[in-house]
Amino acid sequence: MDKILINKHIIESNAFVNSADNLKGSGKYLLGIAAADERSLNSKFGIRYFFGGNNGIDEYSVKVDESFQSISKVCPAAKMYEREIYDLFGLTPDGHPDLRPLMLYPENWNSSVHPLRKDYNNSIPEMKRYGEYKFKKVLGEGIFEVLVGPVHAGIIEPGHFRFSLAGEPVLQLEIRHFWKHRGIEKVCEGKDFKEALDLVAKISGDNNVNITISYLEAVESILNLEITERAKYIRVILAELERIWNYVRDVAWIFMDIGFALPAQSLFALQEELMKLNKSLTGHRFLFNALTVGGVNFNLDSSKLKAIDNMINKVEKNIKECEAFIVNSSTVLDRLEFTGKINKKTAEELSLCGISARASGLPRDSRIEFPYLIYDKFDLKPALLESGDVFARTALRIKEIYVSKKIIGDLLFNLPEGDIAVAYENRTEAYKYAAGNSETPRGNAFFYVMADNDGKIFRLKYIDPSFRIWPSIQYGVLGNIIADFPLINKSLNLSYSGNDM
Amino acid sequence: MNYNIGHLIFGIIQFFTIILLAPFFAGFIHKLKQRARGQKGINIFQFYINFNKLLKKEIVLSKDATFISEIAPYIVFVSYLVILLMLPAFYRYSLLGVSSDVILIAYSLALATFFMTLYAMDQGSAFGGLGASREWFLTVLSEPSLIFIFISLAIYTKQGRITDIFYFIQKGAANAFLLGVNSDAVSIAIPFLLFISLFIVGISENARIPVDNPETHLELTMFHEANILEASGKHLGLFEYGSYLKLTVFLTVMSLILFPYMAVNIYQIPLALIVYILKMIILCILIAGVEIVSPKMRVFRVPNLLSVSFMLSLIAMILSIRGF
Repeated sequence: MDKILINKHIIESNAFVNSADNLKGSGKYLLGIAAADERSLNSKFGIRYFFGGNNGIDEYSVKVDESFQSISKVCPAAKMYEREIYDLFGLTPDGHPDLRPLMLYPENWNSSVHPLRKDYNNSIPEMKRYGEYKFKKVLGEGIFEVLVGPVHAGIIEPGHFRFSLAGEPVLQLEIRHFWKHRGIEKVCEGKDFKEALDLVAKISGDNNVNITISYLEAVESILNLEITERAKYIRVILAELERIWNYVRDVAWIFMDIGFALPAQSLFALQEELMKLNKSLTGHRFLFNALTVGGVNFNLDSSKLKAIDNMINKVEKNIKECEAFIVNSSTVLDRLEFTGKINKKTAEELSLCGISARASGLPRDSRIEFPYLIYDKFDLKPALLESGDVFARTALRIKEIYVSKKIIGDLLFNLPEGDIAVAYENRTEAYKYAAGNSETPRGNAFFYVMADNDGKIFRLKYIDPSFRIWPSIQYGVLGNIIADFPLINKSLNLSYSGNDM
Repeated sequence: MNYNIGHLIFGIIQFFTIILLAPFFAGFIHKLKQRARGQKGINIFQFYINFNKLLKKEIVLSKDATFISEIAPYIVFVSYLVILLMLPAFYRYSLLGVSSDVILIAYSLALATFFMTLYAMDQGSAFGGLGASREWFLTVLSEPSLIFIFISLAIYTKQGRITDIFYFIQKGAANAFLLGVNSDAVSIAIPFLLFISLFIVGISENARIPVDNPETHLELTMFHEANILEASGKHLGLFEYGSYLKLTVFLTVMSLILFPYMAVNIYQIPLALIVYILKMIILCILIAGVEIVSPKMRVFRVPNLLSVSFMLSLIAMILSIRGF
């Protein structure tokens, strides 16, 4: 049973550039590119392009040897995926404009070692300088560079931002991430689906429920497993609770970054209450370990349902106050409006997803485009704003808190009876693969999972929304001053660990 | 006027009282802000503890640093001390009262800023240069207001020293309100205008919201803090203490404009001290209030705010020349 409608196409590498162009013309956008070392099956590497659109997901698979045709020129969003494949598989994308190493740093990694190949022997190359990474330079009188990170002031993850400035205005921003590559995809290979679940949950902790849902969509589809209605309902409730606490935190940080601590602190207090609710429901503040293959790990009794109901009503009340606060304060609006604008065209070319896409006027919401679990039961409409600035992203988060509240409210007292988890046999067709997707608070989380002939994972590829959206910040800051960068960054609120797994 | 040993002793007492109180005022504002947001807040004496800790810490200097980095923290700190030696916070005869020229005060402030920005650039970090350029952006814009404020006070009272200026206003006000003598020196408009103008300059010079955010950890948004990002140990301690002193300088001048009451002899000192502390607490509450209810402005909106301050001081100047 395929839960997501995937149309499979097999294509020759050389012809694909043209089809990619046509695909874009037909309104489809790139969801991701997944490569796999399938030399043990058919002595070739497999590259799969996933394009999304309103009538489902199209998969184009290409068999290649050591190189393949780059589609970056017609589809700029492919740039990062192709660099990633070049690093981890050593397959050369011909015609790629920028083949600098992405995640394996030439400063300490031998670029002829490709960890995702099956013949990689798990050894780490000697720690020494193998090459150099060249940053783009802006030259001219009075132009200087400001380097930020990878170590930041504050407890955040590592990322390097290199600004070229002429006074305050930003002429160019170049980001370099992937400082703590964990190799989760490689580690998952050879593990069974349940073992990998714990690793998947740690890809990006604050979105772990939604990411896990995406993984389970793929896995349960491989296992031909149908979970109970009750488990589906509980998964959706958890997913929306996670969305709410993420958005509450994001809005709070927007206030914090414009130096307005008064409303920020009250939202932080609200976030704390939401996390306490999480803990009382599942035993963990971040909802870790709530889901399992075949269902969920805990049940909702009437007292828990009541607690959720009280909490979401409280959230709605507080967020209404907060919304009035933003709209009625000219000084707050002055900071948010026209800051960090990402044009619709840029958003399209970079295949953005989630809040960042919707704030720029692209109606992309996986809950609506590729419905999973029970999302097709709600008549959801993508919340859209056109301006693409910090204000739009903040306002959308507030809007979507109401949507999530409504979804939870609809489900709470209509929970179907039944088991919360079903037993399953860990047996699959050999080399069967499936895709899963879900809408995390940051955007579409996409999983491609392939089983081996033993019910274990042969290849797992995860594409985090942050991986897609990070490059867009380089365009969002143009025309802004450097003092507004932290605010723009916070309005996108991307994950470093999801980006670099 | 003959000065005797009593003037010296009370001058010294006044000087050390203000210096010792300075971190308290900064801590009090911080505490107020935190309580207003529903946080438990820091210890009100936390900044004394921090200073003590920083004094014990090692100084780390960049390998590109020159002797400027060695001397700048002391020059900055001493500049503020010199100003505090001149201010008649609650005792009319401050130690450097005879040379407390208003222009000297204004440019001692500028001297401190100059050396702080030299320090910022001397260490060769990109943030330092950015912070220095922003600091001057603010200082250049607020300097005219500051000068106009002091000059209009001088013209208005026909005195050059800050001790004399405020004593003149104090006497005039006392005559008008207590004895009913109608004095030319009493005008509500000029002090009122000057107070608002100085308040705006004070907010900008002391890196408070809405101009700068003293609590942020985001280097890219900093004004004042970006200058001292590289400072450590005793140097950082001196810069931090210097910023408390600067705040106290501005608050003290504001308090004098608001309600000048200086002791002229030993018997008035207790009352004058209490009045001084009360005024300072009121001003702290005022600053905290502004910081609580407003977000930080866009960088390039700050000139609008400072031009308001400039216009107010200009009007005050015109009024004082016309002799209200």
